[in-house]
Formats: sequence, structure tokens, C-alpha cells
Amino acid sequence: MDVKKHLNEPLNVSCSAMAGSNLLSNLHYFYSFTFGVFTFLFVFKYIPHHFHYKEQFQLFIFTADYFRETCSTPGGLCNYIGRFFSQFFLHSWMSALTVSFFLAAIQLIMLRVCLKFRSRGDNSSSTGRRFLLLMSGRIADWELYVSFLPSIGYLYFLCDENTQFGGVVALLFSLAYALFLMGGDRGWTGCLLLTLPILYFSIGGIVYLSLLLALLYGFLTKEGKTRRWFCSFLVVGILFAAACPFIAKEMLKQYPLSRYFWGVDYVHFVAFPPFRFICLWLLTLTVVLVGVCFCRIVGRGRLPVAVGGSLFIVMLIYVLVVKTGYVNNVSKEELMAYDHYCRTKNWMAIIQMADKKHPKSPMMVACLNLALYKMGELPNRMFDYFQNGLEGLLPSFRRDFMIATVACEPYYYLGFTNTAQRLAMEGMEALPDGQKSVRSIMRLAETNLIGGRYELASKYLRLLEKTLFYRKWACETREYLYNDAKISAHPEWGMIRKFSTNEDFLFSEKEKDMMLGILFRQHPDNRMAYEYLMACTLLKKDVRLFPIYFGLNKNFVYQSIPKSYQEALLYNWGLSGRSFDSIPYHIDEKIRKSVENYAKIYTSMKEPEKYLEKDFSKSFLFYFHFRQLGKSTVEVSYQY
Amino acid sequence: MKRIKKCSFLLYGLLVVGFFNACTGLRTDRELRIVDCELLSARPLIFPDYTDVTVPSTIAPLNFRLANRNYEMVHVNVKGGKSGEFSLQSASEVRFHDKEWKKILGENVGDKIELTLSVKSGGRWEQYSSFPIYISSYPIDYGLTYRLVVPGYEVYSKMGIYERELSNFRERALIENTVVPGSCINCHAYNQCNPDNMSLHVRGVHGGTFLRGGSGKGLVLLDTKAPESLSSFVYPYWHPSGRFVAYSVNKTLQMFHAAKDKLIEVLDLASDIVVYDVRENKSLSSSLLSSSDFETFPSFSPDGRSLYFCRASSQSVPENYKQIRYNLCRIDFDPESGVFGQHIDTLINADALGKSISFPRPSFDGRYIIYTLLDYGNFGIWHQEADLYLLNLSDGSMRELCEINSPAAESYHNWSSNSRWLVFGSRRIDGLYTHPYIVSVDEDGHVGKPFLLPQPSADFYEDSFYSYNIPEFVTKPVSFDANEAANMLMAPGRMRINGK
Repeated sequence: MDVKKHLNEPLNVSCSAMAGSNLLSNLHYFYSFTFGVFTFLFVFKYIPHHFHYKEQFQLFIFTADYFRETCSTPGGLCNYIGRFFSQFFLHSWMSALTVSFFLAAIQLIMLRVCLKFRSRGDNSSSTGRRFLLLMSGRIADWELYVSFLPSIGYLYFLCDENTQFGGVVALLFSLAYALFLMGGDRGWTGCLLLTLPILYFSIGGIVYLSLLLALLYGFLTKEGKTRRWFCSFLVVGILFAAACPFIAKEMLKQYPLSRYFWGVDYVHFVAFPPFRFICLWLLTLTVVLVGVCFCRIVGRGRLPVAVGGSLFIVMLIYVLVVKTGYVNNVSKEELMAYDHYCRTKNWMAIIQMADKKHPKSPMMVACLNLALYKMGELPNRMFDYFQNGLEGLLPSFRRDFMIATVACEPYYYLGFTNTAQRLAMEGMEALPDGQKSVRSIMRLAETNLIGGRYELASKYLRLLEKTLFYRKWACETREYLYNDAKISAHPEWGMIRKFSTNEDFLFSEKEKDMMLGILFRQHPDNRMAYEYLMACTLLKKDVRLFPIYFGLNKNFVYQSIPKSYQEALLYNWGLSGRSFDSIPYHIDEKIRKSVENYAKIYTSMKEPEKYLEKDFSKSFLFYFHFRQLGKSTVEVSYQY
Repeated sequence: MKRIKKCSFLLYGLLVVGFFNACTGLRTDRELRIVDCELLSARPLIFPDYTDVTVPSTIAPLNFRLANRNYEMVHVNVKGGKSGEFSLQSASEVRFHDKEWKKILGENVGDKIELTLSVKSGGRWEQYSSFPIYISSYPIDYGLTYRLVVPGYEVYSKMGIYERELSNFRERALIENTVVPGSCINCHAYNQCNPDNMSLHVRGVHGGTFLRGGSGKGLVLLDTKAPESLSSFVYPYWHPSGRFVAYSVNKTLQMFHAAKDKLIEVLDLASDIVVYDVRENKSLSSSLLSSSDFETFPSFSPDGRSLYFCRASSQSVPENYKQIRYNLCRIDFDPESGVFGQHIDTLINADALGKSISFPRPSFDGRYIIYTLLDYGNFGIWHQEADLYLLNLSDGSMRELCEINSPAAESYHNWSSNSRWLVFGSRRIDGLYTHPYIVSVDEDGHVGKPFLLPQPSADFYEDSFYSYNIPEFVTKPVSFDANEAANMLMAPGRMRINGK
């Protein structure tokens, strides 16, 4: 063999790869752009609230300590960059733009990695002809298909609300590193391998993907001595990389060994290995290998493609994968939408959503009931929607960040600031990756401000002042510190402070009605306490206590007694066998007739539910007779 | 060529140093002087408040910032009572150079340093009245260990036990709960500040109690939860001989207040005291220490012949939780036979005063017991009224430590090995986060003004999410390998205690 020829070979291969790259240069930007646009539209239209959800469960602060703490573990740099970009998930369009940009960039780099595998003579057609062939399905550019694989796979993963963005950054870095490794001569590769510990510490275990891709490249495209050198370098690199987690474990100690193998927080539940992500990397490697081998065996440019074109295939995979991801999470997207609107106080949006599709999960129903109260419609319309007991009014605490965060909302507005504070703190501490929640910190600042614990409120505001998007709010809120008059004049904080409980009692999950009763007794002008007490009584189906509580209202004037109250009063009256004519409340004639009809069907039919469902499902009586208290089956599946 | 390279490196180095100094806004210069400044009669308000504090001569620099004031520049002149002087200027907070700080402290042991602050604001300088920092002649131990945990309610995320050197800002994690996900790391104790004898409890599915005894056996992991006992062993306290460790076993209840002034209540539903014999691997008890009353927070006297603890009559909970009041009690203990005395002495009948006592900690010179006094219960950290009191064992007198108490909760506390320093936790900064304070106690029982454990930045505590639980002095670095501990925790085996 001619040694000189082989020494020159890497350069030639590189040139040929560049030639391939040039031939597709006009096209692959088009593909990447198209992919980016589709991703943008998908994220923006179908899963925007997944990203709102992700954004609220982190607190990215611009301090040296935060940087040092985040980057002090393998993969930490990617976590840091991922969290930096996750801040932009606050707004739907920004999240869509961020995600589409990163995934398109990954696709683009992956394409360049794949094109490196091309050997001379692979590309003989002109760009225009190639495009036509491609569109007509006459040419199978496997590199193009494969280049979409990691991005589409990751988009699918991002449909899971627990996927963190640091993994996207890690993938991007990993592919870029692979590209660099492939791109040069022996010295260049050797130099890059020397940076391996730094890279491992920055991007974690995904560095194996880079090394394996480069090894594959060296093995398949290089020959002779060059191949031996190149592959030897990389094998040493892989062995070195394999030792890195053990070294890290020995030095850093504070995580299980398995954690040092992947490093980056791919999902919130960092204690579990990210198997599905590892599968995607392995699949990518396998497909690259198969693609190269297939082309070598069959030959390029003469592969008939059965379906109507390469783009069609790519888009089909895209739609199928992404749609599957979306369909799998559509219910969660709804829940996150409720949560987002609740957080942003967009009460009308919640009711509009509920009008389109009745919520079933207690968390969603709790948001809906809060929205109904805020819009002044709780007593009249609460049974227009599915109700699932007290959990749908004041959810109980569970060791779950989402449930605690949502449960915090009604307690906060009611004036149970201690409970709201507890749930905000519990929600934050329940985050399995140990991050802090910007939403919880805001709520903690508010509850302490309302409670007059100004030093503590100042501490939380100080943290928020170091964020990108909450700084303005924190600076404005700081003006309320030590200013009782200003807080009292605030439309929300002033009201909550006024209605906060002064009488100490111990919180009891089992006696929510009692707590509401105490709150209302202290502040008879607390309308929310009253309506929640009444709602609580109705949802507990306590029709005997209902008239007593109903009589407590001396401060609020309703145009007419709310519908659900009338139904409960009539039912209670009817229980004693007395005629409705003697009822001492002003009952609407229509409601009275409705209750009479209901009673007639209920008492005369053997299985009354199916007869009553059509006309009476939006009544308290239907709930009273046919809804089971406690957890709905839907709730179980929504437990995170 | 070589010369050019050398010059380049030198230039580069100067640039880096210059950039660093520009970033920190710090200038140190012995000759810095302020002229034409207005003299103020007031002392500066600084955070942390290090005015008039008494510190050991080896303490890390007491960095601080001016509180409640914006300024363009602050100038600090530090002058030793005996000798030494330096000045520095900063555009942000005051951070002392370690060498200068140590030097001036070392030169003025038993005396004081005077700090004079001048502030430039609106182009004008104002000079505050100077304040002293007293340099104690008593040495302090090597470091502190503490648990860092978010002051949450039921759920906890990251926490761990950390060791901090007192002569610098170095902190290292001994063990964090990330090492075994889902675990809770809490009670840790040493034998009179000597970490050769160590007890550390890990709660959770893979939980256990680590013990490093004096027998040279190294670290062992105990299963201290017997089927018949109330709980695993908690609240450890070492016998000075290193042979015994006193623990309490508690069944507790956590409740939450609705009103704004209180947040959490932690109550005993049942609690007893046991003593673990390290040498014989068995637990010792007495019917007097496992009665229907609540017995908790044991601690041995320095001579090892008495066991102090808190005891309260049992009450029905939650109805009468405010009636649970603990007295400070004592029982004889024979370290040779491991036998307890036949009767219990009540040293302080706090119940009669309408108060409750928790965390009694005898000084290692045998002269005092420091404890927390609160209205009821024993978990002072959640009681704003919780304050520290000192019992003089020579004459039985007790007094409130007004020098160190604050309107917020003061709770966990312990002595340095020479009993000349106290460390305690206080929530005085913001009412929720517990921070470690150190205070000097001289031979006559005079207590100085406490100082907050110094940190590299004055903003450190305000930016932190963590409370400092159970600060303990240690005389040397704690030998504890988290990897070894994790392996032991993940392995199924635990050393069983042989029984009573």
C-alpha cells in the first residue's frame, strides 16, 4: 500500500464529505428551516403549557454561587445552559422559538455528522437534479432521514412535561464534539481527546455518543494506518471516558455512581436512569451504521423509494412521533393549561376551557371552581361542571410538586396564608431534582408580605431580583415592604391580609368546612370564605347543615338565591315531608319545578340515573345522588 | 523571543489581576487615607452586625456590608489595640484579605481592633464613629459541623451534613442525601467535640445509624429500630468515656398552625430514653426513663456520672398540646456497670413557671448547663419565644442569656471543647432561616456579644435557602467517607443491637 496515499486520505475523505455537503448545502438549510417551522408551530399550538409548566419549576438566578453550584457536577454546564434557556418558556412564542431553534440546530449538525460518512463519488448529480430526484422519491439520502432522528426523538421526549432542556443542550454539544473529532487529522483528534475530562464534566455521559460516532466514522471511512491510529485514539478516549464517572464518584462522592454516568438532568426525576434517552442515542448510532453499510452494499442513487418521497417519509415520521407524543399528553396539556391560567389569573380562559370540555381531575376542577368564584359564578354554576368532592375545591396536600402548587391557590385567595405558604414551600421542596421554583418563591414573597414578615419577604424578593423575567415584579413589590398602608390598598394583597385568619387553630385536612367556618366567623364579609363554605357543604352532601350555614350570610346580597343553594334548600325541606309551598326562602319557580320533576323520576324509576342524566346532570341533586365522593379514576392517572 | 513570551505572560497575569480587582471593586492599601470627610457621631449599621463582638484570634475574616445605605465607596481603617493597622476600600461590600486579617488578629490577642468606616456618597465622604472587635485569648476549635436543610414542613429536597473550618471559608459535605436518594440525614453528635466518636442517623428506606466508636472498629451501621421501640435512636449524646451514647426514642407528630405568628408544631406522642453501650452492643434503659411521661433530649455530665434530660407529663394531643411542659431532670448513671440511679432529680421545674425546657447541654468544664426555654413543647426552633438560659451548677442559679437572645427563636446550642465558646442557632435575621452564631463565655460566666459565622460574602445568608441545624464544634476534620457510607447504606446488612 502506498503510505503517502493513506496519509493523505483523511483530507481527501474530508474533502469528499465537504463536496457532499456542498451539493446539499442549498437543500439542508431548507429542510432544517422547514423542520424548525413545523416544530415552532407544534410547540406553540399544541403543547405551549408543557413549557410553562417546565418554566415555573426552576429558579435561574444570575449569581456566581448558582453557576458554581449548578456546574459542580458532571453535566452541570448543560444543566445551567438548559435552565438559562428554560427561562424563556415563560411565553409560548419564546418557548416555541427556543425549542425549534435548538432542535433544528441539532438536525443540522447531525446532518453534517452523517455527511462525513460519505466517501468520494457518492454525489454525482447537480443540486437541482438532486432536489428533483429527492422530491420524486428516486433517491434515498439516508443521511437526511437519519439527521432528523435525534431531533424528532427529542421533540417526542419534550412532550413529556418532566423532560428538562439541559439534555437538548447536551445533545447539541455532543454532536458538535463528534463533528470536531471527525474533522481533523491525528493531532487534532488527539488534542480534542485531551479535552475529554472537561467535556465529560460539561456534558456528562453523552460524550460516549460523540466518541462512538467518531469511532464509527474512523472505522468505516478511513483505511490502513490512518484508520488504526484514528481508531486507537478513540478507543483510548472511550476507555478514558468510561473511567471518568468512577473518578468523579471518587472525588465528588455525593451522588450514586450511576448518576455520574449520565450526569445531565434529562428529566426532573434525576434519581432514575434516563433509559429512553440512551435508547435514542443507541438508535441513532445503529441507524448511522446501517445507513452506511446499506449504501456500501446496494449503492447510492439507485434506491427506489416506495413512498412518495423522502420528505414525505420524514414528515410522516415527524407527524406520527410528535402526534403520538402529543396524544399521550393531551390530558396533561389541559391540566397544565388550567394551572397556567390559574397562575396568570386568566379566570375567563379557565371557564371557556371547561365549557368546551368538562374537567375531571380534581386539580383542574379546583382551578375551575376558583375561576368560577373569581367570576362570581361559583354558587350558580359549579354543578354545571363535573364535581369530584372536596378534592376539587380544596385539594389535599400530597408529596407532589404539582398538586401542592395547585392546591396552594385557593388557600391563598381565601386568606389561609400560612397554609398557602406551606403548600408553596412543600411544592418547591417536592421537586425531585432539588431545584427551586420561581412560582413558589413568588408566592412565598407574597404570603410573607401579607403576613407582615418583611425580612423574609425581602429575602425572596432579593432572589427574584436576580432573575431575568421576575426582576421587574420583585422591584415593584419591594416598594410594599414595611408599608402596611400600601399593602392594604393593594387590590389583592390588601384583601387577603384583611381576611387572613387571626385566630390560631391547627390545620386539619379532614375538617376543611370547620376551618372555612372559623375563617368566615372571623370575617363575615369574606365572600370567598362563605361561598367556599357553602360549596364545601354541598360537595360533602351535608344537606342538613346547609340551611344553617346558609343563614349565616348577613352581608352578601344575591339577585336571587343561587341555583345550587335553592336546590339544596328544597331538598332539605323535602326531606322533612313538608310541602315546598311552605318553604321560607324565595325559590325560583323554574327551579322548584325542576326539583319536583327530578324527585318524580328519581322515586318512580328503577335505575333513575340514566333518565336523569340528560336533563339534570347539571344540578346539585344529581351530584348528591350519583357522584361518589373521593378520588375520581382520572385523578390517579394524573398523579405525577 | 523568550523574553517576549515572558513579558506576555507577565502582562497577561497583570491583566487578570487587574480584571479581578476591578470586578471585586476592592483596593487594599496601608496608606489609604480619607481627607475632608464629615465626622458622624453614630456607629455604622453593618450586616452582619460585627460591632462589639468577641472573636477568636483564628476566625476567618468578618466580611460585611453597610446595611440600609447606598454608597459609591466604603473605606475601612482597621487598627489594632496593641499593634498593626491597615485600610481598604471597596465599591461594594467589605472583604478583608485573609493574610492581613489574620496578622492583625494574631498581634492583638487579648485586646481589640478598632474599625473606622468612611463612606463616599454623592461625592462626599462621611466617617462613622469607630467600633471595636475584641480578640479573645481563648482558642476555638477547628471547625463546625451542621446540617443544611431548607426550613420546610414535611417535604425536604437536598440536605446534608457539612463541615466548615472556622479559620477560613472552606466548607465540605460530609454526606448529602443525594448519595442515597430519598433519605433524610439528621442527628449527628461527637464526643465533646472529638469526631473520633461520632453518631449520625440516616432516615428512610435505606436508613440506619452510623457509629464510629472508640474501639477502633471504624464506621459501623446500626439498625436501632427494634420492633418494640418507639422509633430509631435520635438526639444522641456521647458519654465522655466514649463507651455509651444516650439517645431518645420518640413518636412525634407534626401539626400546622393557621394563624400567621406560628407555622409548625412538633410534639411528642411518646418518648423514652435509652443508652447504647458501644462496647457491648446493647441498649440500656430504666423504667424511670421509659415511663408514660415524655423523656427526651438526654445529655451526660462531663464526669459521666449523671444523665440530664427533659421530662414532661404526657398529655392528650392535639387537644392539650399547649400543656406539654418539660422540666430539666437528672438521674445518676454508673459508667462502670451501666446502671441508672433509683430516683430522678428535678433540677428546674419549668412546668411550675408555666414554661418548658429543651436541649440541655452541659459545659464540658462541668460548671453550666445551657438550655432553651419556651412556652410549651420541646421544639424551640418553631417557637419565636424560645430563648437560651444558663444554669449555674455550682449554685443552682439560672439566668436568661440576654446578651445573646433575640425576639426570634434561639434554639440548638453546644459548647466548644474548652467550654469558652458557644455555638447556637438563631432565626433573628428573617424569622425563618436558622443561622449559626458563636459567642464567647469567659471563666466567670460572662457572655460576650455573639457573631454570625463569617462567610466570604456578606450576602451569603440572604442568598441561601438553607437553615443551619445542630451546629456542633469539632476539634479536627471529621473522618467520614460518603462513598463508604453510601455503600453501607445500600447494602442490606445492619448491625443489630443485642437487646436490653
